[in-house]
Amino acid sequence: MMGIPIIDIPGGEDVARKKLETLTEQMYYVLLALWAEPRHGYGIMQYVDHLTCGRIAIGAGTLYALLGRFEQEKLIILTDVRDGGRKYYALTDEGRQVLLDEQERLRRQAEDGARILGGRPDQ
Amino acid sequence: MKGKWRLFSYWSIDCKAAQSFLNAMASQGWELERLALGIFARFQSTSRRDLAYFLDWTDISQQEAPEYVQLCADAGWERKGVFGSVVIYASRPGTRPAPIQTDPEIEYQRLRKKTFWSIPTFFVLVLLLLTAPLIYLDRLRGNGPPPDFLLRSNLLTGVLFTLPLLSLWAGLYLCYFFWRLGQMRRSRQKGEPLPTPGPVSAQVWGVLRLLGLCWAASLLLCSLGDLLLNTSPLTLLLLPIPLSILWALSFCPPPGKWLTHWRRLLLLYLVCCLLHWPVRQVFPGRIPAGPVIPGAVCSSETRYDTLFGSCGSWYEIPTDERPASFFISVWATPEQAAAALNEAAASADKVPGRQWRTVEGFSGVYQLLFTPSEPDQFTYYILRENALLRCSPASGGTSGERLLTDALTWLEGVK
Repeated sequence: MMGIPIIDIPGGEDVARKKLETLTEQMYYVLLALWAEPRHGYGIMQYVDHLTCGRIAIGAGTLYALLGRFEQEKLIILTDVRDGGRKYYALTDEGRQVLLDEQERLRRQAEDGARILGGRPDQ
Repeated sequence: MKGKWRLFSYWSIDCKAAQSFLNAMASQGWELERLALGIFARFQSTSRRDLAYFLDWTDISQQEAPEYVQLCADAGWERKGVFGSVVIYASRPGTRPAPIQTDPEIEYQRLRKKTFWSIPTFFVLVLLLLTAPLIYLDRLRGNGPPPDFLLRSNLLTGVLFTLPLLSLWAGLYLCYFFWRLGQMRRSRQKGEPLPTPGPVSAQVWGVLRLLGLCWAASLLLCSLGDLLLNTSPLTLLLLPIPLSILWALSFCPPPGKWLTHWRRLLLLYLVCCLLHWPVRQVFPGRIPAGPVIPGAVCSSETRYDTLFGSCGSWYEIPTDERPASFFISVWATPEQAAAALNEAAASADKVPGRQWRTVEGFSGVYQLLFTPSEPDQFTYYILRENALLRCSPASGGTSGERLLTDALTWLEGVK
């Protein structure tokens, strides 16, 4: 049985935690896919592919590692095992908060960019 | 169906080059049918235009988690084979799945977690690199006698003589491994996909892997030769070494199925064990058949033959007298035999009461007296070119003069 795929960069837990303060695009979309309802791994891949019109592709191995990590960080929780052993995951309250925080960060980032690029630096 | 064989010798660390090669073959209408011996790939023609490959690092000592396998299957990847610490996945017909790893950071960590510390090969190589030169220098330095196992085990002899090359080989591989790892680390820090080694570079380094396999295969042959000719428990104990190296380097059967995978080799091993007795009976070797004493009956006979020498021991019971014991070592060179004799003389000098002397009238014949008070308790050492015969008459048994005459006559038959 393979262990939980923790990202064990030298430096340990702190580095792993720090990385979660800013989600990568793939992390963001995995959490987003679980916002409305629990999904299994392949369901997440399909949902993200559909949502982004194929712009974001999450590999099976990458998704597996992310799910393991999110579960360990208690951002998601295993809710069910069905459909031939497929594991269904749902967002926890902490996971929802992380997603909302990231959404807010991205919104501000986009606003700042729009202001500068739109020629309104002082607003 | 049309097919072709291609050399497929890649280190696990070069799996991106192997992946690139497989995808290039796929684009030319060739799909991977199977891998053979971990170094050859059999391809068959295909009309598929959507075929793609992804090579994913894995820990060969463990089963992949079922949900991982399920996720890859759901995504459209099916497992086609394994080499080194790498699983080969091919896309299923009618699918265009995303690569299995789409995050360089996670892929790099998977490499480190799955292969870096888990493959036995790595530890075997480090061990070889550190210990091989020491063992080699220790065993072959100075003017001392060569190790006794040169006469008893082809396997140990093969290992001893290839240790320096093996050490060099392990050092080269480890340097290469860490160089590639450094390249990957830098790519990951830049957020770029893990680099794909150039095809020529990967193939050149693949030759190094091939040489390692040839070495392991030659040791395997040595082991089988020992099984046929030499009854040494040491050989039987050491046989798993080349087998496990071969296993670690190339074949890598799925966990839990190695017994099935190795059934042919195990069968060969058993056949050699069964053939040992008849082969030993008909193989003449370098030592002439007994008895040394005409008319005597030989018993408790053991014989060993290797590429570099032979040795044997036995008792002889003459019809009218008490037994005599014999031990003969036949070395590759007269110098080695002389060194073995010198060692025996030096050992005798260290024990109080023992006396080492030449036998007058005979060249190259020495006598070791165990205690001065019992002059009939002795051993003859007879050096003839590359052969050293040691014979001891039992107390009150065959007379020394007769034994010596018989032994000198018999020694003329040594090759």
